[in-house]
Amino acid sequence: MKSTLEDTTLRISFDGDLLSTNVHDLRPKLFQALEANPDATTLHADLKNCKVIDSMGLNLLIALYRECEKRKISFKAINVSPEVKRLFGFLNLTSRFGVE
Amino acid sequence: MPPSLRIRRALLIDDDPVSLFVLAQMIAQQGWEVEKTQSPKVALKWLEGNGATRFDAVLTDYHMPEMKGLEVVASVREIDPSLATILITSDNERRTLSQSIKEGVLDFLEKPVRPDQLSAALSKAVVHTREHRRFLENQVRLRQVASIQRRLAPELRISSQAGLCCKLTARCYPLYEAGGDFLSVAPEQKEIFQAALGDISGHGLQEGFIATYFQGMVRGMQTLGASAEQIAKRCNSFLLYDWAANNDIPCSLSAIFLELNLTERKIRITNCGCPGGFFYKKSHEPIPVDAAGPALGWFDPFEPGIEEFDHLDAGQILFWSDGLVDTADRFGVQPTSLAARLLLTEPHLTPTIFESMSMPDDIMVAKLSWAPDVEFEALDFLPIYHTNFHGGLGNGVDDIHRSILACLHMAIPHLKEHRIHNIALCCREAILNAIQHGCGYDSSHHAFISIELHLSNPQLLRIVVADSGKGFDYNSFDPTLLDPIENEHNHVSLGLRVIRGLADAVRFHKNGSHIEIDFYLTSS
Repeated sequence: MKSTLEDTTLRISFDGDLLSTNVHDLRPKLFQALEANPDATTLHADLKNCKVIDSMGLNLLIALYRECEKRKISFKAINVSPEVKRLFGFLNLTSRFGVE
Repeated sequence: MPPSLRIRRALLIDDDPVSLFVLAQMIAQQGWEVEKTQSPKVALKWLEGNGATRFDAVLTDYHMPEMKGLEVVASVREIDPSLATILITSDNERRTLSQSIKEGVLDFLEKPVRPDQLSAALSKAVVHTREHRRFLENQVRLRQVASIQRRLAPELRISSQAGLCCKLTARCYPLYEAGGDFLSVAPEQKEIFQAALGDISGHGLQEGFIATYFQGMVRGMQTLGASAEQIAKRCNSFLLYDWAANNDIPCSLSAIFLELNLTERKIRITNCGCPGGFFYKKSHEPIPVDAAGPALGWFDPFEPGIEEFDHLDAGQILFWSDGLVDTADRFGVQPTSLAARLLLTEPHLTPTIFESMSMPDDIMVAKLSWAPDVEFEALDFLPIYHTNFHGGLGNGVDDIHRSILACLHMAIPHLKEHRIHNIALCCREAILNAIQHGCGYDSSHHAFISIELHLSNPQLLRIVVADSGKGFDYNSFDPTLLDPIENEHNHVSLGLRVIRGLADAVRFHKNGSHIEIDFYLTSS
């Protein structure tokens, strides 16, 4: 996972799938990235390398979304594959995650 | 006519009419028929189509204005690589020798040509051409043997007086031109259906011949009403005593015999050195066939592995030679998924997977299924994948996920990538649910997943995941009302919503501890 700040946009890029087997490692890193960038007003979750997101991976994204809500940070999932977009679609997450 | 008595015929090409006449006379004096021309282009026309097969040698001058001799040689090789070519050069063209050999010239004559040199070159040419052609003809015949072996794998269906339908489907893929695997069935005795799958040690033409011998022997005994044990015992003693006494070629036979009694509704499996395969009751739960015994021709006394299943209204057995297990291993998939792929392939076609990776051994695979006549079509299925797991699976879920993807790609190659991806994701969600809620992350609690292809119309892919837990009140669960953001920690609801969103149908049994997920393969 990589995080970069450009102006006030924090971009978090995931290296691969978001799965039950890696969310426990990712979770603290995500929250540390938020802590380390208090000036961020927008968060872009870059899902370019995420082919598969399971329910635990979704939970992680939802937790990140809620944390952003708390911190008044606008949340947006970018580079979303058609499969993941479909998943977001029937879970009513598309507009909340700012997916176009 | 024996090849030695057949007329030998040469094609002579030389632009110089005098040289052409003289050489033609010399060749005729050697007892050959000669067809001659000054034009290389005309000569090549004569060879086209099936024309080349009329000749045993082509003799061509090197230096001709219309076409160089080496170009003629290259064109002849293109038309018929088995036809020997002899290049005739003058003394100062010796340097062409090395290039000639590269082009595949069999021999090389210098002008003026001496009769003894011509005789030697022609003799060499006729042997070369005829041996090469015989080799090619044998190759074609061998391929025909393989094709016959493949067609001998039966596909038959019988209805018993007891109201049961019984169907056997088999596929055979010899590693080389012919193979040592065979299948013999005795459908004549309609109330006791007997099938024997045999695998002669080794693979190749010799083993193909031996396999045919044993297939005949087994088939003969089946027709006479011999039991599996009687047949196996006879083969064992034959191999140990008769065969060993008369042959230097060591030989053993791995065989598995199935005797399905359609009246008593029971099946008896006699195994002598074959992988056991899997037995599926009506519930579709896979039961590994444990019956194991040494191959026939190894030991006396003869001790086959025997297993019986009874009270069977419906069921099926998938069985195979060890070539299938080795090949599945090479592809990194479960044997059932490779078996499904082969059984779904038309018998005369070779699955495309064998174009990318060769098999390590001959393969014979068969499926014997039975069910009441009226239910047969609805119950017919092909298992693709199954595994048991426990609550402490942890990161092992990734291995299962990968294995499921590989097995789906193997079994149903035409399925679109996003569909395979969705099926595998549903499997993962159901496994996560079973680990967490069915097994409570406890490694002493177990669950299983199976994926099967139902051959009904439309084809249906069914995933079954069952755990040993108490289940949950699935009637109270309305996934449409749950907001994933508001129910962030409700993993069950999110996982089930993913499954419901991706699958075509979801059903719960046994208080929710048993979930069935269906994908219609013809839907978009």
